[in-house]
Amino acid sequence: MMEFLLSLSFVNPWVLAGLFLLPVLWYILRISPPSPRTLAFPAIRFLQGLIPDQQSHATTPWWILLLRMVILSLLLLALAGPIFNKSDQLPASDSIRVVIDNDWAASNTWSLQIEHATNIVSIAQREGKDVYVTTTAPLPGQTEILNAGPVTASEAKNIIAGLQYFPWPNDYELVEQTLKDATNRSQSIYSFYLSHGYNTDQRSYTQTQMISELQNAGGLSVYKPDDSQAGLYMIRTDADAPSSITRGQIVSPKKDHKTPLIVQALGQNGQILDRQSITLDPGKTVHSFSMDVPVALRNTIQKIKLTGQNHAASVLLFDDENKRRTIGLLNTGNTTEQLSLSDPDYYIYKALSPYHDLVSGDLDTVLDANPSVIVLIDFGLLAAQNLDRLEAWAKDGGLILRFAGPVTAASNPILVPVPLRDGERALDGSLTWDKPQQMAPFADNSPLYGLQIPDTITVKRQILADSSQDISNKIWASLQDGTPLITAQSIDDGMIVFFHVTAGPEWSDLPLTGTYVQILRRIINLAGKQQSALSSAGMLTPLLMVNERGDTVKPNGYERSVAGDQVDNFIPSSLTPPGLYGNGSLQHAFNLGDSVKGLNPIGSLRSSIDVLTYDLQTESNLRPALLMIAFLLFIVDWIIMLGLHIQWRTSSRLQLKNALKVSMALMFMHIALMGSASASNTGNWAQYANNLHLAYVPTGNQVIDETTQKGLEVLATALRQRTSAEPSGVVKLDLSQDYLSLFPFIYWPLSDTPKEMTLAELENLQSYLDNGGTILFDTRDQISALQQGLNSGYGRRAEQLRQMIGTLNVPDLEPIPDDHVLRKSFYLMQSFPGRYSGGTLWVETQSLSGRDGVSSIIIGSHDWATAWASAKGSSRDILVTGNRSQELALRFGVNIMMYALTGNYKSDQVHVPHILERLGQ
Amino acid sequence: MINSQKAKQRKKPFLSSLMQRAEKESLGLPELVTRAEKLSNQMAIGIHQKKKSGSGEFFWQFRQYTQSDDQRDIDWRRSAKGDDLYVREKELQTAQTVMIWAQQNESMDFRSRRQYLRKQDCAHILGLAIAHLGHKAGEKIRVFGNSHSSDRTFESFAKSLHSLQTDALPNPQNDIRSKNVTAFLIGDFLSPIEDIERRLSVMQTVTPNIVCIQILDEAEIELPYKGRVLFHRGNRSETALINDVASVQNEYKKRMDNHIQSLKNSCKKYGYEYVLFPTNTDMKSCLLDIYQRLSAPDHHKNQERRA
Repeated sequence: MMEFLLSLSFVNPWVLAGLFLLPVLWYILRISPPSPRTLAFPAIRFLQGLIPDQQSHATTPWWILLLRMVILSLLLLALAGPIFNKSDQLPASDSIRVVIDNDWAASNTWSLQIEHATNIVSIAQREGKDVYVTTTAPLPGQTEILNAGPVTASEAKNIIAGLQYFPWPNDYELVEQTLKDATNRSQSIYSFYLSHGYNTDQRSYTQTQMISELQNAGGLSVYKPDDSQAGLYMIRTDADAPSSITRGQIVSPKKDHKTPLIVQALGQNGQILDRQSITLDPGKTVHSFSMDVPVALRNTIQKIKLTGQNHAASVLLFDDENKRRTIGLLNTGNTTEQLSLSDPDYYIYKALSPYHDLVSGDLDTVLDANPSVIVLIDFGLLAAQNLDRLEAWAKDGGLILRFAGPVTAASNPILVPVPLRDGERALDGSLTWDKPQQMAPFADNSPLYGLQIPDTITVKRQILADSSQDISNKIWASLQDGTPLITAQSIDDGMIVFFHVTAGPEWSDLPLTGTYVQILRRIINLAGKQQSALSSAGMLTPLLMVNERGDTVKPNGYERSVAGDQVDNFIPSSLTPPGLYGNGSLQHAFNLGDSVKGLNPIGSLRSSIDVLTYDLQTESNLRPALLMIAFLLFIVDWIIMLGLHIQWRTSSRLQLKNALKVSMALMFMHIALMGSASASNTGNWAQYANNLHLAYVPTGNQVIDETTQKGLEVLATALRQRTSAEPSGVVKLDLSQDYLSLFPFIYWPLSDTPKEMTLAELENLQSYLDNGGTILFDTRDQISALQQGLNSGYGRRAEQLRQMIGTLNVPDLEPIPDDHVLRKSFYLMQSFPGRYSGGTLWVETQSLSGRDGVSSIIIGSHDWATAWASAKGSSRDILVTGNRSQELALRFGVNIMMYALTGNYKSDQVHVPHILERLGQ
Repeated sequence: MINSQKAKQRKKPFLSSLMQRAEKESLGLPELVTRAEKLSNQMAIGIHQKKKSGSGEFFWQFRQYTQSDDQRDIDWRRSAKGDDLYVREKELQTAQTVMIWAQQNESMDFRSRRQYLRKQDCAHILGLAIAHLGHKAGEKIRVFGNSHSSDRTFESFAKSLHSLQTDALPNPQNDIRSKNVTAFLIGDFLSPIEDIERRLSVMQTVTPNIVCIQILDEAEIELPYKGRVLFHRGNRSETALINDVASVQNEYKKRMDNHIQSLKNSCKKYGYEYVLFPTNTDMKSCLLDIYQRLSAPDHHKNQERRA
């Protein structure tokens, strides 16, 4: 409380003197009573001259007085202009400068920075100082920073409100340079550096120089986040396995960590493929992790995200190079276990197995593995049959990677990009005078353009191409004398790439260098691509950008392309933000994290610099809140006065009673609802509501109920097969419990034992019938009607039915007319046989239009359920009706279901001509 | 002013509903038969049987034919039994006049709670109920204070009762003066007791058979209010500001009781019946009360002595 009061200050403290007037007001209000109630009263003559005992009730009640005092005090306080946490004054200077860190690392502290900047500018506004606004990260697409000023404080507020942070590092040198150029040395500018607490400029230049430049201009306060506010973590690829999708490193700013971090592998559409909680090693700032993603899913990983961190360095994008492909290594059955250093397979295996899955074996084995690339190491002639299969596979989009060798030199192989000369060229032998050749730089039309070639690579032997043809466009790599080292040719959808040297180190040093791995990976990444796309490997255009929140977005347009030879020393900048760049043949993901060496906190600063942390105390004006409260209290006072003045003709006791009654009723209703909700099975209701269900009312007689169940199941099958109505089940109803409205049609067979109906059941039924339900009553006693003679026409259960529905509000019934919809709702039917035929079907006389012409009650005596149940194959999908009568019964079932579902649809005039036509009339 | 008058008119319940209510109230009661002792020789037929021959409906006696008798009066069946001619005489029946006065001014336009009837409606319903009973019994009914009304039917009576604006007390000026009249004075009788007594004594010249029915609201009897209230008459002509109503309740009740008591005493003095009807009580029981008082033996005696 004391702290609250201490942090409270007033703009106009003298207004508070008005509080001393409150007792006077108290006195005045106290002696002037509120006006009395006025009442008409005929017997007023008897009241004249009556003197009441006490006068005290004539004064204003104390609580109204108190209320008004509070209102007045609040008004006075509001007029005094209270400000909570009023900030200090600015240091003496001509104007101030606000420098805001707005690179990727500002994401955690951005709101704090902006809040404090606004706060500082507010104070400057009060003091009437001009403001400079400077940001540290270059503007998008430009190599300039924002340096605005001098502007007025209100303009500066607008500028600050429009600031945002960017997914690239700071450029402190640029800031220093800009400041040096722009600052007028004659006036002093006090600077506030709202930092995010890290030095993220990856070049040798550090921010200390910028800081000293700021300090020299007229003084400096540096704001830093405290430990709880920073919490910045970033993710980068593992330096030991730079292209592994499932491995990476988390970089933390400090060495003591408590919270585990969660890393997610996200697929193409953002679905989470894997999720790993990583407990950070307390002794280190760099923590490796590896994710356990199934091989089948590995290639669908688009990015790895560090959850809880929303900045550009919290995400790792993956490009094609990171796809793990299956590579077939064609050999005669050697297994990898026997590989030795002298075996060329060993070098291939060593170079590619970290990135791809290798399958070795004969052609059958290899093709079964469905590889992207098949590697042939020093194969001469293949068997014709295998050759055909291999060629067909390559033409279908495969990539054949061949290496030369003694065998190749000896034969004249087919399936090579260029015609070869017989024999090999030895550059380093006792009988040659050529020196071993070095590799020439890759031409810019080669897919390998951009790769660095160490000087140490020498080629001692090679197979020469037959230079009688123009093969220049097939050469991907050559020696310095121009002879081809790697040639390629596309065949249909596929490609053949040929190394004119061996896969092992016998002929050249290439397999011993990292360049070999890079070349192989690039070539393998070309698998499945068109030759036309291979033409230009020069520039990589932006494809997918990582924004400052760590989301992947489409390029905004300001991003520049990256030259293919700049891939390895790429640093994200305002011109080339992190993201996925590529062209037809090459894709490369430039992740911000890879270029960040570490999260280095701002170093120690000179003691003359004021170092502050972001504290959450912000200046807030309490006046609107106070005025609002005073206004609300005034309304309360007004309502009270209104209440006092109104002549309550009706007694308050009566109102109280009514209110009690209403609230009790509401409570009981609530309890009743709760009770009914808890007593019922809501899960089934949802299911019943989602799908069409057939329903029947059980008789209590198990045999009849089972027959009915089975019959309705058969009917459901028939409906599914023949119509678009697809009942998903049969439900045995409990009339008192179930929501009957979920079932458009209820079948109600009658047994000899009459069903006793409770009031609740009757009400439930009535509301079902009133609101559009249809019930088919089946008395199942046509046979007894026949026995009793034709005159009666009614079975023995007619009386029972009459009693049962006598209590229901049912419209008049009539025997089904000849033109009734039920006769044509799906099948055209003249009679409605069930187990019995003949008899009469009773329907409502004239259905009201509100029910769409559907009779709420249909009464028959044909025992349809038994007829349905006797139709064969009820458990199978295919329904076989044994004879004509069963078929007719089923047709009636279909008709009545369609009738209940579609209403008078079929009675529309539109269909009359068609029906007439089918009837042959 | 005109507007407020109109508003008042509109506030009045429709006559038909009042009549219905009155008929309902009087239903099931024995027909209110005013006393027969006070009969004059008026020839109008009522059912007050006079124990002597005259015009009526019921057989009284046979007597021998005299010259002055109309030949048509001869009862031939009786005469055929003997040699003399007999005349059939019927018992004389005469009718009373029931006179109703129902106060209708702004003083009656009051009720303290919504569920109570207004005093005005009470007065009208009570008046109509009494008139209805009398009418059923064959009495003449007329509105006191309206000499022009013919009041042949109950409906016309009700109409004139409903439309007649009155003062605070009945004012007998050009009304018929007859012993054959029973007058029911229905009002709140809140005027000063001296005024009331003066009027009641004047009423004696009209008829000695008078029933005073005082209609009061519960609030007028109990004064159930609290706090600071400015009381006023309906037309705000008179006001009284009471700072603490609850504290004067007892004093007020004493005053009201005194007033009621002195009203009772004056009625007794002139031999009138007095009935107090608070509007929150059952109207039927009030009617019963009136009926019983009119048929009570001591009342009879009282009246006979006077006769």
